Amino acid sequence: MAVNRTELIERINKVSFVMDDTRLFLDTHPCNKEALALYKEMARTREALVREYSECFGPLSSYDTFEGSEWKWAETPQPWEGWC
Amino acid sequence: MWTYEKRLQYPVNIKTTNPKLAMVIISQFGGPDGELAASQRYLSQRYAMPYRNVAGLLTDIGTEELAHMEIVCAIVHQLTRNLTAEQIEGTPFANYYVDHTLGLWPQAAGGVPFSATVFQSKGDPITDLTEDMAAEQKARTTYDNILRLVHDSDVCDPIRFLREREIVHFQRFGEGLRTVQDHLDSKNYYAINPAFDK
Repeated sequence: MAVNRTELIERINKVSFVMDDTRLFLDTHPCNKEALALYKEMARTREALVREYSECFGPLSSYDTFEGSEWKWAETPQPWEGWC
Repeated sequence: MWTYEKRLQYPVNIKTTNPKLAMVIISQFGGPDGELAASQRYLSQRYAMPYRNVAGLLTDIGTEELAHMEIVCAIVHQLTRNLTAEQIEGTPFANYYVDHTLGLWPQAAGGVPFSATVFQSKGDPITDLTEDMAAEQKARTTYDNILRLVHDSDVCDPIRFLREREIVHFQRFGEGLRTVQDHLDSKNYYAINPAFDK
């Protein structure tokens, strides 16, 4: 597999966090164009990363589609397991 | 409606178990200034918030608190994972183990069970947002207290992240309170409850 699962989830975590923080900022600064542009840019980046993740490692979100005929949602690692 | 993502908002990867430390950190799961109380405080308060954008802020911060609760639980879980009875014996974790084995249960560091009495949903936007700002500072102090007891960088790292989020949420709630005040008569700030008196 070309992509490492840990690396990909770290990239998703980083871009998602930018969105989490910017979302709260936009809630109280809805007219800030710079923050809105950042939010939209990060959303596009995130969408591509999540699609890549789902295709390689199974669904990340309960609404994601996934490759193959097997049900993977419940079987993939739980987030609290860590990777140590 | 909520959807679940199979990832932590901030990663937790702890190499060394530490039951003594787990007993301290569990307070941020079910303690008086913990993440469970935070999430239920904000998600309960939003229904009586008459200003849509501030209700939206309560939803977004309340949702993030659910993710923080999962991070705290992941820390406690990894600090106690696969412990043997011998490793537990003589530690402050022994009393908890008797009732919950290695399961997660919301309680304070002192063993007090989680209680909704640690937070309010008062139905007054000024009152609720003022409580929310205090709650973020109380949680920040708790994380500062925890950090003085933690000497494992694997544990410090996610705790520092959670501590920083308390500061950001405090700032955002302050802006939310300002939004509410902007809707009031400047001569009459505290004379009415904008969610009740029309």
